[in-house]
Amino acid sequence: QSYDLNVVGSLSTSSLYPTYELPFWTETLPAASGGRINVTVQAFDRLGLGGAAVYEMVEQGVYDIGTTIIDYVAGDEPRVEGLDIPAIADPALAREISIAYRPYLERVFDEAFDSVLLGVAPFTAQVVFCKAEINGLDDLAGLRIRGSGRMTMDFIEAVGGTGVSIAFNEVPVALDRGVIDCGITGTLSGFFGGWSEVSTHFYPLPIGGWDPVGFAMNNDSWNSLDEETQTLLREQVAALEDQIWNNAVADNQLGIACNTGGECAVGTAQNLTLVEITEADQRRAVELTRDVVLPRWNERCAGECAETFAATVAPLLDAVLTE
Amino acid sequence: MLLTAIFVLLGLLALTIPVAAALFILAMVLEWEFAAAPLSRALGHQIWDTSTNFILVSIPLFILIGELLLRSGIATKVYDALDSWLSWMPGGLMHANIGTATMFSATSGSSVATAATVGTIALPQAPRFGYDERFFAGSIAAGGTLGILLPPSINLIVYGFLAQASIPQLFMAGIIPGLVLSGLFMLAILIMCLIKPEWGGERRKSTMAQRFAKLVHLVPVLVLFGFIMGAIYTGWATPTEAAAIGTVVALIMAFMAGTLSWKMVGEALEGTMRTTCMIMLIMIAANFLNFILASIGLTDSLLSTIATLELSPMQTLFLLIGFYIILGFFIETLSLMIITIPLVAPLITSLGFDPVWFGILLIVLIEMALITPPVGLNLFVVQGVRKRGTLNEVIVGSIPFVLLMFVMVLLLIAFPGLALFLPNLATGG
Amino acid sequence: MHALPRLLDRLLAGALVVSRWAVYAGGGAILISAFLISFDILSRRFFGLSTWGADELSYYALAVSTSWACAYTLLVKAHIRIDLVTSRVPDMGKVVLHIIALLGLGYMAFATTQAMFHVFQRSWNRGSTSITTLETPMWIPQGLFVAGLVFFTLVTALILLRVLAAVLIERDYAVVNRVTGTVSVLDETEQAIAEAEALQKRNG
Ligand code: NA
Ligand code: NA
Repeated sequence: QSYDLNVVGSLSTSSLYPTYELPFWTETLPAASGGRINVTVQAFDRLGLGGAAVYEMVEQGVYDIGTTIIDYVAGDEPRVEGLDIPAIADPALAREISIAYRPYLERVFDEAFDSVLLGVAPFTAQVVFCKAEINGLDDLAGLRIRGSGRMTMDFIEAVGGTGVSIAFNEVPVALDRGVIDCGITGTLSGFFGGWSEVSTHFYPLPIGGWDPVGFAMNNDSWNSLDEETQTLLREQVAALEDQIWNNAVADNQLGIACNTGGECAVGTAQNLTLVEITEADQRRAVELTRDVVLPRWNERCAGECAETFAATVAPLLDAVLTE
Repeated sequence: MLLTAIFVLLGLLALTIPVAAALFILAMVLEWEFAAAPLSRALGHQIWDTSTNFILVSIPLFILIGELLLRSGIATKVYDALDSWLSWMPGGLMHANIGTATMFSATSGSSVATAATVGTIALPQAPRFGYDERFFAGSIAAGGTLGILLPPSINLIVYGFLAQASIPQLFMAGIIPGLVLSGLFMLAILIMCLIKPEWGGERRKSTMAQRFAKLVHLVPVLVLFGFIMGAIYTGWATPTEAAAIGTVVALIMAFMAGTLSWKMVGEALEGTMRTTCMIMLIMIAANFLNFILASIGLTDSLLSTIATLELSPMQTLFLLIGFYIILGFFIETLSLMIITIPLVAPLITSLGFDPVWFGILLIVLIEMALITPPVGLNLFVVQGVRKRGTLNEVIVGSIPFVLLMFVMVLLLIAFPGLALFLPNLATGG
Repeated sequence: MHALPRLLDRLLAGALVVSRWAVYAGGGAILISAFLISFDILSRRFFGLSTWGADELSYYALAVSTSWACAYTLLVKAHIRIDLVTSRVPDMGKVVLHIIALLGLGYMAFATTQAMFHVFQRSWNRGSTSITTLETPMWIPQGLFVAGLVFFTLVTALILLRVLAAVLIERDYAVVNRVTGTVSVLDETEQAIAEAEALQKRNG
């Protein structure tokens, strides 16, 4: 039996969509299915669709499968935020956290969006660009920092900074004129978006998290597939997930190199001062997350959500602190 | 598919269905006819996302600034001051027309408002001092169009929003071309009145003392422009925030001019909301239409059709220019922009043109559309204010200015720096 | 003479009053937004305070004031219509075109109201909030927005009824031109001109 799938992918301007999603849907998956699966795919921004609407469109059957940054739907579903927490520098740990929270998240997607969560993969680590001298986490206190997302803003506040919301493409001018001192975005996004041209310091602590995207499939569409195809789709997306995780780590290293005078294959490297993440700072960051940021989130999703988090993810954080 | 779309749209517009509703119905027809998925279920989100956009908050704010300035009597005084400085030249008051339009443009985001304001003040002077009425009226219709080229500009905001180009950069980019075009207008008036002195009316001379005494009338407009562009240029504020500051400053100025009252503010709000709703409804419908067009693949197929023509980037550009000039004769300008930009902007970027530069080029073409018959809003405004003669006279009087706008288009192509110098300076420094 | 047209006239007059006050309220909200945003810029610049949501409040103000202003825009005939045709057809044809135009606008009003109502309903059922520091419960701005759209739809229907009453009961085409809810490019400029003149008179 053959299937036609209507897919809406994530941001066309990011590297994720053209590098992974597009070839996956248009080449890898059709080939793996021996031509039984046919996909029409477009990025949500090319459609003029807001990123926050993607899962709802999947729920309503406008699309069979949709991908977007999970944090976009935090207003509809605060439960999803537990997947990605601020300031986890080690990608292996970030992935462990996402795996630990995943079973619960799958249930959330089933309930909230009437869909199957096929996969979760990181967008890119959201790190700090500053036009101000900083030597570590504590130096962020008193600075004006551009961020987005609840947990990120709460974290900025927790270190004593001031959260400011400014559109991505207005950040370079704002940094340059001192309207803000720092901004948080992806390592390479900041490089290509001209942030590093006006910054002096680069702090690779992912205060904005790893910004995961989720691949969700409408339940009816899912159930209409035969078992063999379901298995195939799961396997293929899992392979894609691996590929994207590995690459996020490589991308992150490339981004650090490009911003701080290392070997940069994608442009001319900038010479920002690389602020090392000390072990003490990483522990302090996790402490702030555990003691200030997460309790606030737990107020937004009390009950089962907070309990599940405490049972699955919290031990991983405690492990960092007791090491 | 493309032919169906064009045919349906023209049919709906011919039935005089309001533009917003025509675009909306077209979207629904296309969805019903060509879409595999129930796309219209995305309508609610589309509406809400378009309606709650912080960039678009600047639209009512910039309209409100213009309304407040208009109603506070500041424009009349500007005309008086520029009259004393400029009317000694051949062409007399016509220079004051262009000058006042230029100054007023620096605070008004709309061309119709600019033309109506200058026209009401200036037109009664034409018969009194023996000007060629056609040319005099043309100078006002054309001068008014500067309102959307010089910042602030509703049309540049709409362009930036739809083409995802930086609005601060677009505002910066409009300044030099706006001043150059204004200069070209004055130069043309000067030369033509030297050749045909009977076109220019009585020239009036003021003493230097009178002139300097009147300079103070220009201060409010300059201060307001300074606040708005200064806030944007220094990075203190985004365009929307600058519009908010401008609104507060305009209120303070009306208060200082002694013309602030509940009645005056109420009228300004009425005018503002009327225009805002009209624009926002079109934006909502256009955004939904673009979603449908992209989803059913029409956008891509149009772009690939153009690609198969194998034109060079320059040829494509001139094709587009020709397209806009022809459509500009017939279609109301804001609708023209909203319908075409989502299709044209990706094409322009893919050809390697700078989207900010193209935005300015497009605005000059839109200015042209405002003064070409049969549908030219500024022609109608000026004729309406004149209340004598025929529309044809205004049309004839505008022809030299249409030609100058075409010259401006060529200048922008030959010297992209005219538009890009200031924005590059702002981001580079 | 006829009871129905009279009743409709009275309803229309009432709608105009309500819509005018809605415009003052909506415009007032925009004006207040301007002050809030200005205050936000200054406090962020000079006192290092965080952005606290002036921007968010202002775009809710934009949405809600827009939806409530649409009825007024319709009543004062400010929706843009391209009419190279209307000026060249006989009265009866004009009336037909007016009715088609109203039906078109009415369809858009109704469809957008319905679609937005679903968004509102969903936010209400789920208790959705904005993903900002304000954590605005989305049903509040969305509910106000939908209410404005409902009003817009009702006014469109009312004008359509009035036009039909004029044609079918009174057989008076002049009435149609007086109340019809949409207007041409030419009429829009007339309005701009009339206002500019009034000002000129007042300011000398
Ligand atoms: Na302007
Ligand atoms: Na025209």
